[in-house]
Amino acid sequence: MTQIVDLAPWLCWILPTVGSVVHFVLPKKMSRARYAIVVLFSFAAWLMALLMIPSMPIQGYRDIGGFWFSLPSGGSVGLGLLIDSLSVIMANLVAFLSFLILLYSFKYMDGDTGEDRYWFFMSFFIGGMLMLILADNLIFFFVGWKIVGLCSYGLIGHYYDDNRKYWIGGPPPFPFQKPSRCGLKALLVTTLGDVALLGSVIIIYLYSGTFNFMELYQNAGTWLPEMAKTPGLLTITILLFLAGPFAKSAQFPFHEWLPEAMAGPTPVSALIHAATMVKAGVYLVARTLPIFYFAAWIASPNIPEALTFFITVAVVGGFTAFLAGTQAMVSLELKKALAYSTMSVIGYMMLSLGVAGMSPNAIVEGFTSGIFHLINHGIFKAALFLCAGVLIHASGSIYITDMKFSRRDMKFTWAFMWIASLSLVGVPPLSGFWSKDGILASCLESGQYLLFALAAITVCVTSFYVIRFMSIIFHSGSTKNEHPGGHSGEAPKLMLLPYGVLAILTVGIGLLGPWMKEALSNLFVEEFHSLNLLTVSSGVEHIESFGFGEAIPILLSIIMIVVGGYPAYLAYFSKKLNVENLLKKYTPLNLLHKFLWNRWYMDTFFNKVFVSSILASREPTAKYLERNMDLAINVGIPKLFSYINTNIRKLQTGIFSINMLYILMFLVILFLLILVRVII
Amino acid sequence: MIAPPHYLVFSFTLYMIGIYCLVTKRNMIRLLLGIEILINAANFNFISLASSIPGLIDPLALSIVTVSIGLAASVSAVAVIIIVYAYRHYGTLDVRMLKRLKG
Amino acid sequence: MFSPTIDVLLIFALTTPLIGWLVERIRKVQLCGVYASIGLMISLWYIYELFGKVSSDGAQTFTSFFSSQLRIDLLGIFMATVFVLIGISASVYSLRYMERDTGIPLFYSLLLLMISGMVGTVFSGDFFTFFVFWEMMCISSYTLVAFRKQRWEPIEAAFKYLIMSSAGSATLLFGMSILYGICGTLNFQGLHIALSNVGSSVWLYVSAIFILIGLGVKSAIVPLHTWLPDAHSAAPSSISAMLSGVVVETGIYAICRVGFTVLSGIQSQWISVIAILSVLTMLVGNLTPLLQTDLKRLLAYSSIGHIGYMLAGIATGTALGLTGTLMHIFNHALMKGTAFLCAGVILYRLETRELKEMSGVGRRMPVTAITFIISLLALTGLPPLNGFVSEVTIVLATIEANMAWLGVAVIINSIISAAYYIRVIRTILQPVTQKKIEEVKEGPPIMLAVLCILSAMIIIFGIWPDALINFAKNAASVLLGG
Repeated sequence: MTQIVDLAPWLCWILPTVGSVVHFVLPKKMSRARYAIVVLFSFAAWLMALLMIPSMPIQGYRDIGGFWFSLPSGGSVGLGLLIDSLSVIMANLVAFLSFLILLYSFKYMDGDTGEDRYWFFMSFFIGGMLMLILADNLIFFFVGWKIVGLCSYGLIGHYYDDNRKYWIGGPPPFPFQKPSRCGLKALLVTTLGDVALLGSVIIIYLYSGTFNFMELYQNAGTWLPEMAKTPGLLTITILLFLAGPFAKSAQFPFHEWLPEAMAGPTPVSALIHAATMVKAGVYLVARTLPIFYFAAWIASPNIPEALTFFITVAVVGGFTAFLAGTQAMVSLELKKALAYSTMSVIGYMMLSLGVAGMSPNAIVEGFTSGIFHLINHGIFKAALFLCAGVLIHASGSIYITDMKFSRRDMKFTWAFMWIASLSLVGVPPLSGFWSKDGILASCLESGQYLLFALAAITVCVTSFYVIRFMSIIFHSGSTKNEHPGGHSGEAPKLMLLPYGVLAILTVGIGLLGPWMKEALSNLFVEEFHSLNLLTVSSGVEHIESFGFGEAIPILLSIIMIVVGGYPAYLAYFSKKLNVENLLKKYTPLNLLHKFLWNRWYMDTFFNKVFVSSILASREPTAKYLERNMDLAINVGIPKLFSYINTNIRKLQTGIFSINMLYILMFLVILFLLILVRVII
Repeated sequence: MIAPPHYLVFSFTLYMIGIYCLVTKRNMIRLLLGIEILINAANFNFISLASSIPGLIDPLALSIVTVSIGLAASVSAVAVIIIVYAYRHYGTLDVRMLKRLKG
Repeated sequence: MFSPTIDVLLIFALTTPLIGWLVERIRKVQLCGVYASIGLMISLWYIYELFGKVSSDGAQTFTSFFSSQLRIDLLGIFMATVFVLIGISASVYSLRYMERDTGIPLFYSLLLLMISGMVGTVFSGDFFTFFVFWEMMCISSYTLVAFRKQRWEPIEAAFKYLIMSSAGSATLLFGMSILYGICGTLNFQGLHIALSNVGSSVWLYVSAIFILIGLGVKSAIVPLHTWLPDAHSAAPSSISAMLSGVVVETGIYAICRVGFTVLSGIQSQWISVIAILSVLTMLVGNLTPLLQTDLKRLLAYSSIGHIGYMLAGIATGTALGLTGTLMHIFNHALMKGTAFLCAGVILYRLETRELKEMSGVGRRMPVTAITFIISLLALTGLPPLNGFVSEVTIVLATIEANMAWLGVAVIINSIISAAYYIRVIRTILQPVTQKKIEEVKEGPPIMLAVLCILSAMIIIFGIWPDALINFAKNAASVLLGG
């Protein structure tokens, strides 16, 4: 039994990776049963993740090392796994969500032509994600990171033959995007972040001599001061390092790929863009947070430069939360709205992790809330996306204005979707409420009032857009589903089950909220203890459930929910306000609408600066630069060599006397050489 | 060197004459004779360098020369055969006509 | 009399015409070829036996009449293995290749004589024994080049070859005589001992020049190479394989042997001369065939290029360089032998040597094409094949000996040589347009069997060169140490 438990972490990530190719080797006769086996592999991975829980050490961590290859400078890169509370929790979350989503997609992708490809990429993605979570060193982590990026490219561009019906964007007259372009955009933006991440990893390696996370923590007292001696080096390293998670988690300024990534099939959006891949960035920040916290507060003397890490994370996170939320307020496509909301919530998580380190008081609260919010968001966002899949399928359109569902015909979907959305807003007693409240509380505790204000305003915005899209979809007044392009009726059971489970789980966690949070924070406190991160000055060791200090954020968030929700209710639910008239009447409102609709003009900016300029320089480069090089190499060198050749061949005359003459000349030259050498 | 210098000069001159013959002569048979002159130069060198004590000649040198003469003969035999065929193909004994293989 | 190997070879050489005359009565002329091949295989077995004895006991000495000696050390065994191996391939190959010619028993007899001459050269411990066997090899090769005497081309080529090579041998004899004059003996060991004390006297330089010219003509060092393209193209293909693969290498062996034992007094000087000559040889050997149209002429020039690489290995003067040269001798014999034999198959079927007329032939003759491509890629020096291993050793040795420019020259020339090898590959793999090539069939199975075995050896020695490296290293240390 212990062997299985020991093997569990390895099997956890190996099983889905193996499962990705299993359906290729099984005979074609089994048809859909092959894919069921892939789902089975992901179920096995979830089992392995569950098995890791009992062995999760109450204090500290377990590092299962392994050998991979040794670097020329003598160090070695290991193929090892790090089992601590953070990684076990995330692994469980990822494995559970992946299993549910694969189950969902078994029915959803039925009949799709590229199904083989889909299952390969999905399973490989899950393997890569688990590899990333369980890795114990930066290189192994990076391998998983890249696998995840690669698979997301393949999955976003799943409909790569650019069939008209899969284009996203619009509605006309606004432009459309083809799926292949979307996949490429995702790959390019995330790779940009990856390159920066790799650069900073190398810099860290140069100073610390190791890639292993645990060793980085333990030796932080040695290499961080080294790095801090060069002014600005730590800042640059931190910024490069953070580019990776920001790109992967679609934070400003790397956020433009996520809305377009909705071109992929809905289970893909659910898995990648709600539950797992975008969380990888948050995970990396959480992983490396202790190092920078140590540098900022524990190391003696404190290295204030390390605070850049937290400031950047918090500010970017907060800003993105606000940015994305405002864009979601005007979005017409359902999946785009969900994408913006994902960006917004991840902004919250980043904010939480950021403020955790901004003062010694807030670390436990911030960290715990951030991770708790990550868990909750994974659950309810996955549920939302799965519902969205059902809705899009049923209505045949991606626009919420085309979706006129009735509550009566789709009872379960209606219920589950409302549960998930309210959890997103943060309505008590659902799960989202507790974690969001924790984030607001940690902002207060660390004394970041500006960020607190930003977060509070975002709560308002969130509630507005959620109520907006839910109203438009379900409460536009029709009594039965009437969609010319789709089919009516409730979703099939196999698709209903996963998001049903998730919605129920949301409710469950919500009811157990405070206790769950306490359990989590105990785990993390133990872990921080083992890393010697908590000193006497950071007094907060456990959270009290209710106290006056904690009441402020709760009250404030409820107020904000109402402030945001009421206008939305008026406009969309009860239709007391007519939005179009409002827009026409007040020009500032119209301008604001336009600004938000055009995604704060950021996409146009990036396109103009990066894409169009490079495309425009194609012509002159080809003409002036390449043509000359081409001529020099491809025409110049052959001419040179044939010239040499023609002349050398003249040496080989057919005349015998010339041949003997060569011999005579050789003799004479050698004799002269002797003469010069010996006599002189 | 033990041998009187004029022996050495002579064999060296003989060698140069042989090379000169090979470089300048046109008739194939003269080229063959050039080779013979070269070999004889070497043989002569062997004999002249074979005496360390005047009057006594090292038998090794003599045996070498004997075998060398035999080898020269076989070379000449093969060469003459080839010259005969060359005459049949080209119709001339002029080696400068044998220039079809070039480049 | 002589060592068992050479005995066997000579016996077979002398009795082959007899067997040939006998089998002509029963009209199965190929049997004498089979007889000759059997003889070669027996001698290979004897060499193996000698290898066992030599590696355990040290160099073997045989004395015979003429008070000259055979001294068989590891280097000799190494070279003899190469020679007899390629000899067996050529002989078996010629069973089918030469069937359209007349005078076949004579062919096999001459082939055996040539091989026994070469084996005797490497086994000899005395300069004059060396010379006798050298002449035996040379004379048989003149005749073999001129074998197809009905056409003008072999005759012209053989004539020039004969005159130049005999001039070279005569020069060699002259150099030997000066050496004899200095030391009174022609035994390699004796010369080594006597001359390493003398240091550098003028006469040593003079004899070095003559010996270098004499050996250089045969091993195609650059100003003395002009006979080679003609002779190697005009000879029958199995003889071309022998000539290009092993006969030129006998010259390299001789330069090594003479240079490191006899001329060790003036080593640094003659090594620098060899270095310059090697660069010159490589350049001429690789730049001239770039636009050649005749396939065998192209391969002959590439032999000159590879001789340049071998000279570069010698020019380093270190054990590693000599190991590289010896390995390259073995590998080049294999690669070039295979290449010429493949060219022979194409010639056998198409009767033409022009590249333009053979475009696409690889598509109709798949086995030949594959073995040809393997040998050509090995000649370029492509990694999993054996040419790469020896070239890398030579380059490393030049770096080790502080002659990095030589290593760079080797690499650049390797790159240039890739141009014409790949041109040949491209020509034989083009789509078939000519009618004559449409109808061509694959070569006869015996020839293909030989090709396959040789190319398998190329691949094996490329992937697993350990055995070869050790053998060459031991042979080199025998030369440099003793």
